[in-house]
Amino acid sequence: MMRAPGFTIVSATIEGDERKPVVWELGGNYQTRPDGSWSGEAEIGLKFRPLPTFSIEVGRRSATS
Amino acid sequence: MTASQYVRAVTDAEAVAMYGRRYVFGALDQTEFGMETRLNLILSPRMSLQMYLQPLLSNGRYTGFKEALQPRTYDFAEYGKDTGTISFDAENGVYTVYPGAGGTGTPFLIPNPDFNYTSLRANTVFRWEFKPGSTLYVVWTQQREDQTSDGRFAFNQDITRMMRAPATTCSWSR
Repeated sequence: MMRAPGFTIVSATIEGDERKPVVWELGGNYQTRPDGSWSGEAEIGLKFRPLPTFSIEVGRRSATS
Repeated sequence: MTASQYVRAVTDAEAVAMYGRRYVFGALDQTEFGMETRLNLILSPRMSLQMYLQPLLSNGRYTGFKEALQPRTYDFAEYGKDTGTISFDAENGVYTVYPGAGGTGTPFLIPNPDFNYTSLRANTVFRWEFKPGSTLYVVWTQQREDQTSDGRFAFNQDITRMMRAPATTCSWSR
């Protein structure tokens, strides 16, 4: 079996109740690689649904690597 | 930080270990910002309006240019440190590399790979099923993008550049 250096990835997401008119979401991940490379990402999202027929959704993502 | 991002390859008969090519890599420091926005409006079971907007800023700066030493390894020699010399001509935006020990060998150029990319995409779709089985779609799309090689992340400056970039707009209906 081939042996390869391992990656480390930590990822987490938490989100609000989809049934509510305002639904939020927060997430992020962080990775490190054997050569010293790394990357990180953060996400935030907000969904506003005041009526069953109308929704507006904004998601912001920031990443660095 | 990406430690070894491929940049380019140059032909050089002196690079015997790599079969006559020099494979150049660099450390890439990249920052990205995006914001997706969606709007859905159902006017009736037969009529809807959907909008999508995505601004994106992506910047990358390269440092520590180096070359791969041997096939099937992850070993590198950094120019100006482990081997050769490297200098940057800011006016023309190019690096000049003398890859041999002590600044010898056949020189080659690396065009500055730093980037500042901005883009804005917007779509709007109006759908109307005016009779059962017959639907009218009206679509409006706009895209703006711009790229420079500054490499530094400057939010306000990049947003301004994105808004001033020439736009490609397309509308159609059927």
